[in-house]
Amino acid sequence: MNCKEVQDGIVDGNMSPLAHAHLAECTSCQAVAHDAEALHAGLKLLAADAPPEASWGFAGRVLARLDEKPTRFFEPLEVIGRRAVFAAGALAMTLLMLAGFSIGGALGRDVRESLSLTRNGTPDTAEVLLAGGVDENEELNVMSELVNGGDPR
Amino acid sequence: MAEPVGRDAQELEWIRNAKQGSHEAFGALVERYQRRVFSLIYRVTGDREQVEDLSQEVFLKAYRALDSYNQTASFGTWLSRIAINHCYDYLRQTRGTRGRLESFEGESEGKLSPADSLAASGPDPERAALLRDIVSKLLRRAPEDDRVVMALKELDGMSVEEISEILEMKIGTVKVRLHRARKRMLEDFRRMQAGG
Repeated sequence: MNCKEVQDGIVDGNMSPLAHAHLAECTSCQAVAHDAEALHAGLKLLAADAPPEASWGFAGRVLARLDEKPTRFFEPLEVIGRRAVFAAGALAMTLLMLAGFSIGGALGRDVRESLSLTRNGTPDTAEVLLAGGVDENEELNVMSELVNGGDPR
Repeated sequence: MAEPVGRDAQELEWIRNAKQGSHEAFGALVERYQRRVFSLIYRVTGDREQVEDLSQEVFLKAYRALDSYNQTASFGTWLSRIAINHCYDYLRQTRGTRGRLESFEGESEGKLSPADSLAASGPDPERAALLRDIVSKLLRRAPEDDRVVMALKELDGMSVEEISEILEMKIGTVKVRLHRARKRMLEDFRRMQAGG
């Protein structure tokens, strides 16, 4: 028998003569058996605890609640929790969308305005750039012009 | 815990009347089974403070589900199923709290060395209390399935057959669950003693 088989027997308190023979020789399994015995003793101590008795009038209190509308355990808290999460989520989405619109609008306006001003009164360049109506080399040239104050290299 | 012989004519009449809305008949059933329900809930949850509230909930659930009781099992077994399911709900609800409260990390004063642990089960009440406390914590930390099957077998003293009837599982399945639960608990116990 190997240690695993013996230790499975120890766990269930079901030891064959062969397992006992192995145990007598194996210090590793002896340590497991020792702890299993301690654990079992601890469980017996717990089992000796008497469960609480129903307090006086318990049945009467149950009967008084028989016609209550059934609710799930912790349901009020769950409902409040769910509503709070949905409300917070909806609020966050709304704020994000509003922020997205205003930032996007402001950025678009700022870019158009700055491009128009940089090109010294020739907004057509900016409009062409924004519209993507230039090829890659032209776009680089235009960007260089803008960065270097209208002085292409 | 052995199933009381409760399917007598009187009990069947209480059940029949309770199904028709008789509070008095249901009260008689509560009186008969309250000790059993208290015991089950205490064994499974280990939470003395909550036993009465949880028991009330169990009886209320049973009353509302009375129409579904078809006497294929005894009333006690049927009621025990409701109690166990309610315990599962409670254990799941309190899982996070238990995990935090019952952590062994950083706890050194409660440690027992392997050499001490057997002695703790002996006549020294202080060490016995320590061992009892450690095992109680191990049970609280255990997964719900382990805890239920261990509580029914090791604490409530039910047979594998009784557990299989209450949990509506095959006897072989109960045995496998018990083996795994014991093994995991022993591993936890050894790890804890080793300082992990």
